Amino acid sequence: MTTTTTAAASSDRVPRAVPAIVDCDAHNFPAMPEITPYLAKRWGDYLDRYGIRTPSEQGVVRARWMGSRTDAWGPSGKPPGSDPEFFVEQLVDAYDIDRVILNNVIMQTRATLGFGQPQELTNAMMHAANQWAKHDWLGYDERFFASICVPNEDGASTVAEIERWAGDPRFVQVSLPFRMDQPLGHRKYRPMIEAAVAHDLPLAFHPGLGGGAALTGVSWPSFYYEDHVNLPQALMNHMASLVCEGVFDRHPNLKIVVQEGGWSWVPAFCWRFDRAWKQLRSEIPSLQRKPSEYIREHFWFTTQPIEEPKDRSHLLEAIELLDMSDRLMFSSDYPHWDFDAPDAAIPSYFPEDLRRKIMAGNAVALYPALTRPAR
Amino acid sequence: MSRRLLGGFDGPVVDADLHVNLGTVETIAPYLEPVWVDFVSETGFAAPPGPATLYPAGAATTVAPQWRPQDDGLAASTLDLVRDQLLDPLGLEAGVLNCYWGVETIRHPDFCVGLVRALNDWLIDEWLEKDERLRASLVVPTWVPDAAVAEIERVGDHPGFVQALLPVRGPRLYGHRSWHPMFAAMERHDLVAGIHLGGVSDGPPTPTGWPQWFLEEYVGTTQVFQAQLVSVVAEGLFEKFAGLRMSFLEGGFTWLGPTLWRIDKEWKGLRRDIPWVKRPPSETIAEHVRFSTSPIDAGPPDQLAKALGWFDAERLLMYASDYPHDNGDDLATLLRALPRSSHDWIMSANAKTHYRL
Repeated sequence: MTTTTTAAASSDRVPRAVPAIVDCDAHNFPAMPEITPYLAKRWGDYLDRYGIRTPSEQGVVRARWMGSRTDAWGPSGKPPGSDPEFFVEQLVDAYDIDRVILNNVIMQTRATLGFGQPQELTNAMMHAANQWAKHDWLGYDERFFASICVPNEDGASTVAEIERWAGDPRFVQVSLPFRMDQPLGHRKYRPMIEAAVAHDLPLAFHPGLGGGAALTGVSWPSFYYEDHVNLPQALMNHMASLVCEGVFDRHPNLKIVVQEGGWSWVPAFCWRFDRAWKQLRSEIPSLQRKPSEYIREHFWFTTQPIEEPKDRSHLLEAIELLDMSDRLMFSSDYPHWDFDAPDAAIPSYFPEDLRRKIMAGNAVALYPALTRPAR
Repeated sequence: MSRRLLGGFDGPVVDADLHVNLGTVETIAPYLEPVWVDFVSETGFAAPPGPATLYPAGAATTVAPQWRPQDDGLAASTLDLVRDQLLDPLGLEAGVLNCYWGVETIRHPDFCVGLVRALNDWLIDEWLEKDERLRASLVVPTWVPDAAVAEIERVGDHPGFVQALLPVRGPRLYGHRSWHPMFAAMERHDLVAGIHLGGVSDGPPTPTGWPQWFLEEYVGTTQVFQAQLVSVVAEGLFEKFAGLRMSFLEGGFTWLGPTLWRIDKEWKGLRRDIPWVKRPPSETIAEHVRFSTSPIDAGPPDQLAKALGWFDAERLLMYASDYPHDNGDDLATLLRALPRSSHDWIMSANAKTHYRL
């Protein structure tokens, strides 16, 4: 049970008061023995006997185990993202990162998020994941912050889990998988959205390994390559749903973060949305504002994997068209294979003030807790 | 009116996507085998559900004001309408006619084939044989790839058929290998594969469940076109069928730049997943795939010009009226955002080459 005790602080470095580098998406992931101490005995026993029934959709074979970097297995032999000490060494200290927002992969894996397993087990695992984050990570290094893991298809349990952590400033947002059972505007998600807004916690989408529907709107692809290229697609449907259902009219302070979903597709999507809205206003007369206005007000995007057009001027043009340079936030996606290094991902030809905003300023503005002294 | 619809362009024009509305099964009843005439009469079957889902009767996107028939009849339903409203006033050299009736959504495999055959025979007799400016897409029963091959063999050599219409949604992504015999047949008959708005799959039209509003589903549809583009690239369809050409119709194109960036970037990282793809996929796409210009889905003119500069618009785009639908297109804005030297390519030359007109 050693893992349940709060570990000693990892580093003698004193974090800069004003962060220069914020990593808005890095992944911890518990090997099961890491979180079983936080599970009720009933569910620990259940996992011992039945394990996690991996959905068959994992037949789309990933590039590597959990999409990891080959060098992310530390000296302890623990799997990538499971050992805070090695995490700090390989990422946080190596790049002198000031703040890291941890997105537990347990929240992005449908296998652990409830698909062919008891809802109570899912609820228990999400709670255990938050306990593990609190004690084994946030307690280990004050540069760590975390997203709250929630059993997002179970509204009441999700609200309860949000309420448990909302008072802890180290938990800065609520994690959601790209592929939910319904688009986020659906009324079944109203209690979750209300709880997030009540505590001023952004809802943060992250791609995952599963969902209630197929990976595309035309059934299953064959290759991980397709899965990875197609990542932005579910976001288009969430955006359309949130706007059409009037969620932003009801919640003018709702903040949505898109992690690892790209952003350069957004302008063309907005053009189409605005055009169609003008033509189809009779369907939703209550929708009084141009869809692109809602999107510009309510969405944030992390950078990894950074766009790489052949002609580099196109990247700056894309940012200009997005017109949300205050909404782009650096992320590394450590320890995954397509890791973006803080010292290389944002091209050197970016104007200095834009680079500063992307590397830290925009994140600090969105998550004020990042500048407060750690408890 | 014609000059406005053509954005002031006065050179030769080829329309890469115009529509004919079939209405009810009564229209093609003379072409149905007796067994299906009986079946229709017993079941009361009138039409597949597809068109009404994509084109709700009262939605502004369904019929443009200038293309509503004066007698309040069905838009785009007769050759006279198509001639009087489109072919003549726009002075089209040629137009590729797509009849999206949703026939492939019929699950009864033999009835579906019966409807497909009747529809294609009707297209030949009532349209292709009656106006030499018209070309058309033949329709295929996509639930049963073997039957799709048989239909391509049956009518694919008619000189009026230049394309096979493949609804963008279907039982499987089109790169999937179960489709290869169908694409081999298209290549043999020199038919373009026309990926067009429409169709159904066994799940919802998004990776995250069912949309609730028409507007919601409508704006999200581009992601399905993107999934198809990624699929045909990843599976190496054009490596296997070097002579195959493909069109993306009524799916937009302003999304192409960032999509191609992502397709190329991920290939760099994951090319060992798909080792038969030996060069940046955007190069293969530029050789084999063309995109119709409607809907334009333009932003502000200066921004549109930038987004068009992110891919080879002069080579990849083919003008389409999307008659009789209304996508709020302003062709003049599109043409102004492109170099003058590209206009002829987009308005006719690309389609002539692609469809061998």
